[in-house]
Amino acid sequence: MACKNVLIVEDEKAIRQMMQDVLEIHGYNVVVAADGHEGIEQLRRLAPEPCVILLDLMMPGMNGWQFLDFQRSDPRLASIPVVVCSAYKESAKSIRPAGIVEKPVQLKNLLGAVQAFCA
Amino acid sequence: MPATSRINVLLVDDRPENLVALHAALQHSGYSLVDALSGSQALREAEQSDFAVILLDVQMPGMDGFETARRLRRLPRHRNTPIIFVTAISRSEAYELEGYGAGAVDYLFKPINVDILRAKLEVFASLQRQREEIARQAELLRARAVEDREKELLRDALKARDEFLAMASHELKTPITPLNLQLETFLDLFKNGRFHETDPARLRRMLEIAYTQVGRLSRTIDELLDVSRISTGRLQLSFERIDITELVKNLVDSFASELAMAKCDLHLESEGGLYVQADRFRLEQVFINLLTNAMRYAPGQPVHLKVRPLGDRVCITVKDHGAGIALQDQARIFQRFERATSSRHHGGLGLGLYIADQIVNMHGGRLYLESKPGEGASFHVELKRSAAGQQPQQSA
Repeated sequence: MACKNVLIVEDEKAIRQMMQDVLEIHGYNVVVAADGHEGIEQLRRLAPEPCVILLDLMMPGMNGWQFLDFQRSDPRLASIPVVVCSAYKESAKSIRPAGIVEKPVQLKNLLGAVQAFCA
Repeated sequence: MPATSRINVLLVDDRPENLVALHAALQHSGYSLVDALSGSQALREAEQSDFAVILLDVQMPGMDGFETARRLRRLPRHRNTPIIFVTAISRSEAYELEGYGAGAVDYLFKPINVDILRAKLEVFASLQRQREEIARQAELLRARAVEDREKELLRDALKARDEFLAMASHELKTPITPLNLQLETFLDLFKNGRFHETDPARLRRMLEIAYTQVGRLSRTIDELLDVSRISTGRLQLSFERIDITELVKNLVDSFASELAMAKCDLHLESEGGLYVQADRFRLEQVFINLLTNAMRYAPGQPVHLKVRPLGDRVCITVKDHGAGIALQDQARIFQRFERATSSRHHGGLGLGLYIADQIVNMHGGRLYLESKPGEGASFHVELKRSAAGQQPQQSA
């Protein structure tokens, strides 16, 4: 049974809500978090765990880099693939995520990245 | 290699043959020699030029050497010019003391020993050259310090500009994501014939989100254009006589729904008959910015708007009951790239207050802040009052 659970970690409300709506229209179960802290909390709570995390980098409080550090240091969470959604492609590349979606986000890139890990 | 400077030496003696002898002795010295045959002639020359050293005969008719020296010393140019007295009178201590008291640094006794003459003059010539070299070095250091300071300022300005551009570019790109996703999704749904099976509440929400992004983009673009116009001096104002109370009242009315949504009760205290010469559109821009900030940073709290006369001026105050602004942040928030609270919460570039401040200044008024943490913030706009009565429309 294909996993359809997605976690979105993004501080911009409009982007967060829009991505949620779009993914839900395409049949995914979406949970959202507004910064790194919330993201970690959600990750720990979620059962079953998400099959992919869409991660923004520039966030107040705990940012995307710090979130990744946390996630990668926890063996239970480290294996969940992370797709970075960022306007800063070079920054995103340097942390070697499972995937990158460049901002401004295009629909086919978003769907493609999520489908790759939720098939 | 700096050019060798000219060493000027003033020779004062009432006997022309003595001057000739001095010229002969100093033929190859390289000094520029100036002659004076009396104390008064010496003073005239001294008023015109600087000298490295003055050779001054003591026994002269009329004004003697001592008197000449005293008067030379009074000239600002020559307060410190070395003076060598030349005298035939035998060395007597009292005599020498008078000479030193008059301002001499040295004595030469007649008949003059040419070697001693040259040696003594060379001491002062070399002193002069050293002084000039020091002055040159000091000037170089000064120039270099100025240059370094300018380079530092330029670096800071470029850094601030680059940071600003990065922020502006991010702020412009951010609304595009939701806008783009919404439009692409709708197009997709239409193409696949699935539009009608999608939850209408969801569709509506997506449209509304996208719509607000257009407003946000539009505001960011306007702010950037205004800042650009201001920095190149191209912000044009078109003045007319405006009833300030009426302008504020109309503005408050047009913001009724926003104020209600932010749960900000607005209390307006105003007097009629108050006029200003102002650009209506830009003045509204100022108050829109202040009102919007009040709603944004103090939602759910009342806002007090006061319009009152203040001598030859009008004062419009927008007071909110939010968290207030700490003293150390108060100057910053009027600057170009600053916000007093954390930046990500509300989006935008934080340029509104800077632009408002510039606009008020261009009206010859001032915008200032009174605030203490925990006591809300009062923004005061003071403008010059315009006399009542008909006035023709003016353009700035």
